[in-house]
Amino acid sequence: MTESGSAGACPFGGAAAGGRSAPLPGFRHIFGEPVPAERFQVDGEDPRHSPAALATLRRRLRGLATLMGARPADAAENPNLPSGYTYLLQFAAHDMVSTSMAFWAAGGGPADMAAPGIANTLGAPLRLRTLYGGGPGACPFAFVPDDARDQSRSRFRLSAYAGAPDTPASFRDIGRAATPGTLGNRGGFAGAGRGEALIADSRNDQTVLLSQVTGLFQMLHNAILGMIPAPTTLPARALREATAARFAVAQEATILVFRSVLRGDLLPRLLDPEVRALYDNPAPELLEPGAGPGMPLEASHGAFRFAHAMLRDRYQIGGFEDATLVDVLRLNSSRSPNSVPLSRDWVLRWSQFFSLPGRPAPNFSMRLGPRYTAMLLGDGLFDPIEAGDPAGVAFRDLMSASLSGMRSVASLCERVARARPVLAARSPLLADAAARRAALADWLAHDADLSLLAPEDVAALAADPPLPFYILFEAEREAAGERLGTLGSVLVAETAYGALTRERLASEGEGGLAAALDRLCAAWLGDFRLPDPPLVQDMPGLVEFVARRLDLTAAQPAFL
Amino acid sequence: MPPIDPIEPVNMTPVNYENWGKLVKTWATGEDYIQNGHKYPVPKTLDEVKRQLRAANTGLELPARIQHLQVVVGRSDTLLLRLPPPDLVKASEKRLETKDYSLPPFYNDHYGTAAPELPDKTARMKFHAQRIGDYSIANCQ
Repeated sequence: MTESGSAGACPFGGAAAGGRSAPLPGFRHIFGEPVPAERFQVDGEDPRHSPAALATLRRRLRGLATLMGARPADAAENPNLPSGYTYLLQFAAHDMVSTSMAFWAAGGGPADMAAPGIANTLGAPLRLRTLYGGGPGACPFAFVPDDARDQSRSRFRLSAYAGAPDTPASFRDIGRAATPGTLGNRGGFAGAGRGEALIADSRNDQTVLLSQVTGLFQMLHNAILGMIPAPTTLPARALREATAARFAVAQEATILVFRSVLRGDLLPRLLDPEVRALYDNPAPELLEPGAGPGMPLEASHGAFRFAHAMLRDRYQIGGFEDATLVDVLRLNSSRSPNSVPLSRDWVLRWSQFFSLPGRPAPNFSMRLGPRYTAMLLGDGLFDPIEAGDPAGVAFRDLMSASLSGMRSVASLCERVARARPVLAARSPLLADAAARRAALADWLAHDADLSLLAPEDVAALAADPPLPFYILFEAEREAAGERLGTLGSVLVAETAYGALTRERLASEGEGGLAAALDRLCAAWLGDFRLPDPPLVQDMPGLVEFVARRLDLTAAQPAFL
Repeated sequence: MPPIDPIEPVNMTPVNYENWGKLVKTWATGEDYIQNGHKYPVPKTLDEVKRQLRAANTGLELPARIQHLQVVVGRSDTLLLRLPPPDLVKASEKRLETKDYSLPPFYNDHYGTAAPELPDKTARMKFHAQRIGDYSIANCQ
């Protein structure tokens, strides 16, 4: 039963406007445009079109978010996913979706729906647009000049950690600079702060861990670039072309390595093995081989939110034994300009985040389940959307998913079960709607004093759960939280392998990474071949390659 | 009672000081500062404290050593000397021999700068005494 009255405007158009049914720019729906009955609903109504349904939704999601928002301190770690993969995932997600406005924050009327911020502006996924932006021409601040005359830029700009000696091994932080026109703490007018992150996508400075993953890929680019001889004295046009070719090879080689790591390391750890087997081959069995451009909302605002449950409360980082996630989230140019560039203690030792041979066990991520760390409740990090809403990420994830018009869990399960009967045969949650509803209702009712969910609320959420919650619930039930369950795996695989398949690089083709790197060099550099090609299949391999090429194996503070 | 782990006081840190502060104000005044549908009477048991801490999204978890609850209602005409547990004072002193004083991060947000590192043990002990002097007598200013 929906409530009378409104508890706030719908970000996707109010009742008077009739809401918006078509996909938002840059997005699409998996399995095509859903009819109303196939979308997430609140008691049979679309919350984007009905203030009463929106009020009911808000009340229920407050309860569900409160249940999800405080993971017990003794929750189990996930030995399948060292913590570095949490931030690699965030980096990869930033390479698939970019909106300047969160869905839950989009405002009220139909005009807000057409706001440019709601569009996904990232049209070429998994090509490291999040690292390169538009390249040195469009994002010159991210690159250092090639010479004193600044005629071209090819290397990523990195910062030395605070107080570091002037050696190449000291450049371990992303580029940062003072903010012109400000005072004191942001570094303007001769202050000490560094309020500007000099990277193409400022989202990659959201945490001290993500910024260092970004820096690692910048180092990879610089290492590859360093293997290609720089052009010497040439006529202007020839110099320009030679410089562009050198940059193009370093860029595409970095993207090839990124894609190799996704295929060889990240996705195998995340996906159900039987689902992965359908996709991880030269001719992946896509459910939507002819899908158009755009990111499926069911992936970007549904399935991919699972990574928020991987966050730890505390980390071993460099010189810290128990850095809290709150510390990690605060240490960036935006929130803590006076604390960057990073101090020596915050410089990552990568063996603490990926399993490197012969090194102690890394920080592990937390097992997947419908529970987020309480650290996300921290002051000023993710404040309530409206008074009375819970702070934290869970409520925002649930609201964004519920107000995007995405396919319902029931619709997704029905479509996948029909297309993949072998998978359905081993997943009661996927194939049996009654069993799914019963299992969800059992979990949703487990602490009614805390959630304030009445039995009818529990029944409604069990029948039509928000997708981000369901994906985590399924992962816990089907895979003990070590990886995604069946539906989550299909959505992530369909999106990631779909992008890798449809958005092929010019150098990709037969023969794997080595052959692709050869083709790349041949296309741009004639007979030149990389003397030490980055034949990297996983993150430990990437870290070790960068350490070897940039002479960081024995660096202090430790790199490995 | 077993000796206190020197790092254990850290476990009494709320994640969301604003929500924790609103909960204390709700208990003190009887007005609902949180307004999320839950009731927040002055708790009579530790279980009730834990339930309210979760319902108010404070992120504050009580460490296992906490076994009892004592609620004291202050009066403006009475000097309430809120003395910290002596074992925790000693545990903090021991920790400050080697580690810096850690202020809640919300101070950085309001004052726009990170707290500087205190230079030595003497400075840390001085700051420790000043902080205890402050919060033991301060009345919700």
